[in-house]
Amino acid sequence: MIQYLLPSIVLYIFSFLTIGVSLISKNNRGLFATSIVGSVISFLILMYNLINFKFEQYSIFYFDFPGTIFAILFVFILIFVIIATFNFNYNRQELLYSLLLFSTGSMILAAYSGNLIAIFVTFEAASLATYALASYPKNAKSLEASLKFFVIGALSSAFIILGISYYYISTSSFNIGASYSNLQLFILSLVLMIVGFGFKLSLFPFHSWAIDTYNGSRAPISAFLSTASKLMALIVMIRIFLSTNFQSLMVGSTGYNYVQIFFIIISILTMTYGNVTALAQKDVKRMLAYSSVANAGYLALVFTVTGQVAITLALSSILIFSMAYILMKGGAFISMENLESKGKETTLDDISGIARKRPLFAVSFAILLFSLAGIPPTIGFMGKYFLFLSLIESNLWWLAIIAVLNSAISVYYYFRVVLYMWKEPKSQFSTNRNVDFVVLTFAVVVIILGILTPMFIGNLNTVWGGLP
Amino acid sequence: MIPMIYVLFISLLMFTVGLYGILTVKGGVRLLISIEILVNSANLNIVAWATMHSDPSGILFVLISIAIAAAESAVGFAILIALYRQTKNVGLKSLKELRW
Repeated sequence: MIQYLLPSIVLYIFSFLTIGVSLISKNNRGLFATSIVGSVISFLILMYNLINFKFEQYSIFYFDFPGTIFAILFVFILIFVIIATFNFNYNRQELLYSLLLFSTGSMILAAYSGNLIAIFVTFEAASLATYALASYPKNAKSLEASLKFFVIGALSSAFIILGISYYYISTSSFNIGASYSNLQLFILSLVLMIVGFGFKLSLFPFHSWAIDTYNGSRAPISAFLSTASKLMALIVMIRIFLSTNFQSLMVGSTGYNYVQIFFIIISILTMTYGNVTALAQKDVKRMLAYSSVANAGYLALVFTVTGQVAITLALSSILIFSMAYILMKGGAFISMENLESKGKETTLDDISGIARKRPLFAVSFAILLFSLAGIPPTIGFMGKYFLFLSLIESNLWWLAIIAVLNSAISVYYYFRVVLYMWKEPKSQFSTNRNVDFVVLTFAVVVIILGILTPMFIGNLNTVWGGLP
Repeated sequence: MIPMIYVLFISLLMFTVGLYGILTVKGGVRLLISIEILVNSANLNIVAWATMHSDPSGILFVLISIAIAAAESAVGFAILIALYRQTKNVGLKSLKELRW
């Protein structure tokens, strides 16, 4: 048990240690070293857990394979966000690192929790830290983003706790997959929980905070919010709605059909709205925010599948898609820092011609955009391919067609950015070596994983074997 | 013993009041009060059911959730204070930087 709790304990300890270090050292170098060391130790422990993987189950925590994979993804994006934030030079920068580490520690626990009490506590602990993170440059724009994020987050947690209360009344238990005594109340509780977690996942009617928050915060923080915080909501929803106990209880009952139809409608609306609105955006960062709403629609597709075979395939494909999502979306948001760090705007005109001055950065950013669009040798293609395959497996081929059409729409606005990057330059660009390093690493990993994925997808099905 | 349906009705009423508050108020502090009402409506449900069935896990959950709500309003007030230092105002009308 302790080996699975250790990564988050290490992160918690280092999150307080960074504040202590800031009292001793006067420049940011010590802070940077402390937070990097903490997150790398946590990452190594997680890799050790993955290699010597052994399933353990306790009353509130399930230490299983998908939880470990998601925990690795959270710590991975944390390490690169810390690298990209190194030359922020804010007053009291230790609080930024402290909040990042604390929030990731809670996210790891959220990925493992298998009981509504544990889910609520860890989810809230991670969310509260991210509200403060979003405020970070502390100018009027980012504070507005942070306040909007906070109000919507608090509203979503109110919906979640109301859902949990109805769940508790109808089942007399906080365990996932407990049998219900009152069907109407149970379905109501599920819908309220979908709404609550859907706010965090930025599904369609609940998405509007996401655009403002991702646009208003500093680029690496937006990368952290749009990947780690969103995937935490995804893994929590997967634990509730795709667990074997829950599926055997609900599938075939009349009430569950409504929940499934609700998911189908929401995912179609989210994909279409995100992609169509992104077409009209002139600002690259805002376009990325809308495309992350569209990607939330693809992520929500996993809840529409039925049948044991299709669910197993959908679960392993959602692991690939989450990997792809965290790499390409995180990398794309972090690369916006290159423009923002010099006080520039992030419109298409500002980015035009960047390839002539800094070809390496432009090529790696273009690879990330190709991956977002789903062009073959990248992992973004693999994630979408297996996800749509699992839809066809459960006879939802028309939904797969809608998803593919949406993916085709998205090619337009990603390619437009690439075309602008190769135009004649209008202004000077300065270098930020840390950001260049992060974006290049992400692009290389996107290509390598895209080539390797077909080899390990078969093993993934056997290792996963369904949720408890 | 009060029937459960009354408790459900009261908590739904509280939830509606809180939701109405979030959608209409113009001041930051009132917004935090509305959020508190929202969370407490759900707590009321759980604590009533747990007391009727003498189940300790429900009481435990409510204690945890009250603590979390306190932490949440602490973060909210911190953001409001930072906003006040920038704009000398905690009204929600001053939020007009980000528009789509």
